Amino acid sequence: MHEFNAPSGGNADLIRSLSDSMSPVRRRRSGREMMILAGILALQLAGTLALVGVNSAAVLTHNPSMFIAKAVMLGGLSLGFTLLAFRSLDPEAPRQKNFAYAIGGALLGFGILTLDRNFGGGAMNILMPSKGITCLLSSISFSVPMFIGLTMFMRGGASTQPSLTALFIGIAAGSWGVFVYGLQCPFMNIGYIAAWYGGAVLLVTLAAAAILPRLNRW
Amino acid sequence: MTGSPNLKVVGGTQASSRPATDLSGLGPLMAKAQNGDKAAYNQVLTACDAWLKIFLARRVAPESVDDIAQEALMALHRKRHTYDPEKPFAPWFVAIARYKWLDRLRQHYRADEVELEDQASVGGHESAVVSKMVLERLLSHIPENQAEAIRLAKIEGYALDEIATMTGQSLSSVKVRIHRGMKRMMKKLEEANA
Repeated sequence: MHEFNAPSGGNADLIRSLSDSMSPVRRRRSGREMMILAGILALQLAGTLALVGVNSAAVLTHNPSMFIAKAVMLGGLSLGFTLLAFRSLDPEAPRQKNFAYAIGGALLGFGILTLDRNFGGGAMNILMPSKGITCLLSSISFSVPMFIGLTMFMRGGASTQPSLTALFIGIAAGSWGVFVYGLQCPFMNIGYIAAWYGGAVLLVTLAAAAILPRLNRW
Repeated sequence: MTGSPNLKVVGGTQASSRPATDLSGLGPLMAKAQNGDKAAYNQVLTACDAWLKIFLARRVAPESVDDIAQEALMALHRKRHTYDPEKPFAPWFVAIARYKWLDRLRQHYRADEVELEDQASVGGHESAVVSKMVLERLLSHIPENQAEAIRLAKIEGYALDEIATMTGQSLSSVKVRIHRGMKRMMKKLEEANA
């Protein structure tokens, strides 16, 4: 059996007090958390498609290859960074920066190669600010369920790299928001997507970086 | 430099006789503790406390060891539900202990920033959290002009205006060097413990 020295100094009382207060705990299981998040997002997606399904079908029919490419890029970004965020909730998780660069780089490169790269007609024709602002705000609002869900799981987890976890959550939630919005958005130009979709992801990520490390509970 | 101390932190799942500072084999006890076994939890905390004392002794000033050890034990308690019994206990706990240690260093660094802004003396290094030994080792990893400014301020205890006179630099330049040097050292520590 184990033989331990009695705790010394001021920590003996603390150890006794913590031991006495010990009661059974429900273990954190990332698989269960992922299922819960997937359920929430599936509900959100179903609700959104029920409202804008006709638009999505029209966009898909009009330009199927770019529609699918856009969905793969944004969905892949969201999925990849969600997995990185979950992994970072273990205290002993590595920093995963290289994985993040690989996932981000590969999917952005894929988007650049597959989306509309025609820059004719001037910046205003590409960016369409009046529609772009709607896109930006809608995408940010669509990212809220993912943002809140991952934040709750972050508080229940044990991230020892809260700034990095916050970045992963921001990118995952922002990408999810633009993915949902993008399902009924007819614009496929890389400039438009970089400005408004990218802007939404950036703003959500900045918000996550500013807020989430303070909410990390230790 | 900042790796694991000279202690056993290897993982394990089987309980066995071993010194109190050996974290291996605590996994089954922690699993019992998660199920409400108070005696098992007491043994886990006692072993972790003994390990922390040695881990921290090489990294922080002696008067801070108990404080940081208590913070790490509290952190273990708050996050006890995140331990997965299928994985070794040691890496999980060591990561928490290192996080709390680095967290304390960050707090200390921020406090120094405020002190620098107030242009007060940066003496009082006896009570500093960063031990001289660790500081000296970290200084070898940053540019010499920054290391010199930090050495004079944190180890020798000179005031900023005295350092400016001694080095022939302006006061703001000394502040910038200390600030950049401290930032680099924190980054080095975090990278080394990632």
